[in-house]
Amino acid sequence: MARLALEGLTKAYGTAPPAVDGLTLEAEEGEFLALLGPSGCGKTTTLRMVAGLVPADRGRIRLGEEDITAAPVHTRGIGLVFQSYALFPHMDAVGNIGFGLEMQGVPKAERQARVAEALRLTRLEGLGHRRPRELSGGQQQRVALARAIAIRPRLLLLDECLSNLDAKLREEMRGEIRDIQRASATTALFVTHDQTEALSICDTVAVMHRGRIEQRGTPEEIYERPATRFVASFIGRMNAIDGPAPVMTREGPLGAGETAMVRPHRVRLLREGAAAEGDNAASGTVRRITYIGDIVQVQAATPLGPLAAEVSGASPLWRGLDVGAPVGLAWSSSDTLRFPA
Amino acid sequence: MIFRALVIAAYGFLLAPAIFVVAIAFSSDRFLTFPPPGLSLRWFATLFEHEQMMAAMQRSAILAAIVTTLSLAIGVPAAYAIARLRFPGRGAIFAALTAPLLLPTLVVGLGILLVFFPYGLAGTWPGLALAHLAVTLPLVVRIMTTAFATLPPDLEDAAATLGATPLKVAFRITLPLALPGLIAAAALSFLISFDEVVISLFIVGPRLSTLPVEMYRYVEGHTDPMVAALAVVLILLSISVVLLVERLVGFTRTVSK
Repeated sequence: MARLALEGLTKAYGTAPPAVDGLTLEAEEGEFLALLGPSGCGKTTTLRMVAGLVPADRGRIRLGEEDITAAPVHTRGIGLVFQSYALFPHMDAVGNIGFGLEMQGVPKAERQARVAEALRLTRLEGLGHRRPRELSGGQQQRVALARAIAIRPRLLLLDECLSNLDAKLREEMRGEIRDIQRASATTALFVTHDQTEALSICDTVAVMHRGRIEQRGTPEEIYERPATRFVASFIGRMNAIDGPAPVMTREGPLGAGETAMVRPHRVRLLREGAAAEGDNAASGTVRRITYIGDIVQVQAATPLGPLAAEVSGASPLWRGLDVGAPVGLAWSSSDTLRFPA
Repeated sequence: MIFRALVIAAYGFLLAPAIFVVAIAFSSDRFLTFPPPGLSLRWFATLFEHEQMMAAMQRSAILAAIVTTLSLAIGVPAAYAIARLRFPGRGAIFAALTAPLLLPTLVVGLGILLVFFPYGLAGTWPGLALAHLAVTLPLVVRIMTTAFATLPPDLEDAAATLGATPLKVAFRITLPLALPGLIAAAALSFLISFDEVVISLFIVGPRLSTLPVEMYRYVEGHTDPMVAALAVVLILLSISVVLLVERLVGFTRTVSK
């Protein structure tokens, strides 16, 4: 339960460009911060440096008032939930969860009480005497979480810990992790490549690219007002139009050497003959229709390049539309972002 | 069907010498004849009253225990360093530690004698123990390197984040999980040292010799079935060690892993 501050953190492996390159990032006390980025962006290295499993080449890591940059792993008091869960196979759930408390020298009676509390929080009552291999994936993931929070960590680190679960369970666990984090008011850093995960459970999202933070903000800020072209294209789906082109953006007309971006769900689909609305429009022919269930994506070839529009699956607009049919696309300049290409 | 017959033939070929030895051990005859003219336990009685042989057996057991302890004490940390740490010369150290496995024991024995003799190590306990280590240590390093390399490093990292000091990690996580390998390495070290004859022949002295060497010398001068009786005792000992390991961890699993 402390503030985390990373200052100019750098780590290079061999001669390759640094995996983490002068990264500066803060998480306030009790904040749930997502470190979101594509694989290879350095997010796991960052997490391992914070945990103390990888030494930093340069920079500082502060936790609360303390500089922990050089502190040995076992003195940091940081709970880490591994992607692989890393449960001890020779101990049952109680043994796993109680391990950290035993290492801290917590007396047996208190240890039992705290293990029981952790089991209850993670809804594992009655499973305490099962070994990891006797537990399902979701249960293993709960034991891993219980083990990390049982030590009452100053900081909780979560490393892609939902990626091994199936979609439905993942959604359920998201909510649970969020509730547990909030109830304990633990500062948490959640490393993930899954934007839905990051946006849906975290207070703040830091988007990482090539070892640096591209943008830090609330999920809404990141989604609605991406600061860089990378963030815009990494988060959600985006249409990109390279300038010069007759397109109006939030910041003015699109010039040469610039790219305009608009989300497909902000692009309206117009059937032939319908009047264009909004200040940007293009006409083209349907290239592909992708039915995703609740939404349908229609991709069209236009003079501005390929553009996609998304409509509700229940909408009559896409019904009867075939590949090759002429369509119109229209969108507002206020939904159109402009970035240097 | 053909496969079955082949398997039976192969086992028969491997076990045939043992079958002969066991049969002769219970012979009532004074010579190594097959089939034995009658059955008796007289050669077991002779064996257990043979002071020189019994003393050699005790020495070999003590030596094997010392060699096993030393092999584990040196080999386990070395294997851990090779499997887990990245340091310059790691590959070279692994190669050097396991190379004796590839050499004919005769060559190893001669080499050891040439090196040990000037230091007065030949015919001494430390000399014998060191000579046996040349065979058992590579084996322990080999088995334990594999055992440690197959442990996910995340488990040790997880223990460390939970507040375990490196020593606690070793004793609570790494070694318990490597236990099958440890037991296999200990059992093989013991059996190999207890059984080792070629290198020992170079190193033993007039007053300090091991059981296999005594056996070797005995058959040079005698033709009675006492050695066969001793062989039966040794076979039973080996089987009980294997059964014990099997019982503890599953021998087949640990050795083939």
